[in-house]
Amino acid sequence: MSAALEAVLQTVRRRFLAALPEIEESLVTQQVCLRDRKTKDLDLEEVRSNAHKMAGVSPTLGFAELGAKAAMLDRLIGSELEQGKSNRQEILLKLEALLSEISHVRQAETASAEACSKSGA
Amino acid sequence: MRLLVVDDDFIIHELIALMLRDLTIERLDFAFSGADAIDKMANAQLPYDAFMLDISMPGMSGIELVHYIRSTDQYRTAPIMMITSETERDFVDGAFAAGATDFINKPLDSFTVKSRVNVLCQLAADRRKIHSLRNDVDHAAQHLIRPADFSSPMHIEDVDGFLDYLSLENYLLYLSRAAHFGNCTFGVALNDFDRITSGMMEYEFRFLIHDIAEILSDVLKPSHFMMSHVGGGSFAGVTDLGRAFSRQTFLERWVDIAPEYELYYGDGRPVLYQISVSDPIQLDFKSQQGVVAAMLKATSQAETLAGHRAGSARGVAGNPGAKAQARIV
Repeated sequence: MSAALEAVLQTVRRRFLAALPEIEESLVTQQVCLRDRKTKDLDLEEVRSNAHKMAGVSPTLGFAELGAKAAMLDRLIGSELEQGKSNRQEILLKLEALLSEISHVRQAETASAEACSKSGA
Repeated sequence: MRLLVVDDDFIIHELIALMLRDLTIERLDFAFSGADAIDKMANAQLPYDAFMLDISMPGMSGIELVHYIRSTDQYRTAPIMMITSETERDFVDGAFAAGATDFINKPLDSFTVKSRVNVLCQLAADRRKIHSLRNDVDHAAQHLIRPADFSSPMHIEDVDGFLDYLSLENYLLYLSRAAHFGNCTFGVALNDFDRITSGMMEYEFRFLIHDIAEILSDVLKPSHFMMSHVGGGSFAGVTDLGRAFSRQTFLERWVDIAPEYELYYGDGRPVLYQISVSDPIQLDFKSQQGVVAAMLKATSQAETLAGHRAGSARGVAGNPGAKAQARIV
């Protein structure tokens, strides 16, 4: 990949990372609903939509593990919704795995940014 | 190529824009939903050539959007590439059934996107060519079965010595006076033009004029000459026969040669026709403008001899002035 292309890709990657906290917040809200059985506020479609988008772009931006975990959650909710059931425990496990990976990615990026900042200073 | 990408994720928009930056894409637009895409299609100044659609979008799905696109005349055959993920494989059949052309999987890979969109570009270019050819064929078909327009000079192909009227005029205007020396101009017109061409379709008239041009070409050989159809049933010519050009000799050759050509209407009836030829006008010592004026004068004389009404049929300006009449059967 050329340096110019890599530079533009980095810009897209930064935008994706900038949007992550909002998605994470939405997923955490749904995690609480699932865990506390707050059926009224549970929106599995929203969880799936976020997982679906993340699965679609993460690997291209260099976050293969994030993409894999998001794809697993996307597949599971899709299958559950199709069959008219919702295995809360299974969905919760996959959602927690995804949230954990999001957290990991964010921490790694913060560390990398700090390292860059220090080496630049 | 003009490409519309429809996906509800702005990151996908940015990635696709990035991946396609090396391709020659005249316009790359993005829509976030089916409704947004329909709005963009309706307001596009020029139609899109191809589409990339995400299968799974809130509101109108990608498959529903394919149905919509295919229902419009403009995009009935436009290439559509679906963007799908592994979890949407079941929908791929539905997308193809709806009219999708191809699909590409998320996560997007730069090389794959570029090469597949390149194929999309080629498909779009082929479609444009086919569309253009179809328009030409439709236009030609309508053109030939409509009632004939007699007023314009006709382009005559593949007849020795014949060229377009404007080309003949330009040729004469560019020739020097010395080059005109020894040449003469003359006109030929179809007699009883209104009767012969009454109710003629365009294609019948074209055949008639083309056949007469072929006879004229044979009559004038082996002299060096140039002729044009000037509109209606009239022709203008220039030949190096000069003072050797004689209306009598011309008509005698016509009588010898014309019977070899049998002219028919579209319904099989023979065309019974006669022609008139003007006196020659010598071009010696004439200016370039004078040569063109002389050619028109000769044509008008032939038309008068042929019984044309002044100013009728042909669109090229004339200068009527008949002196004599020569007819053949």
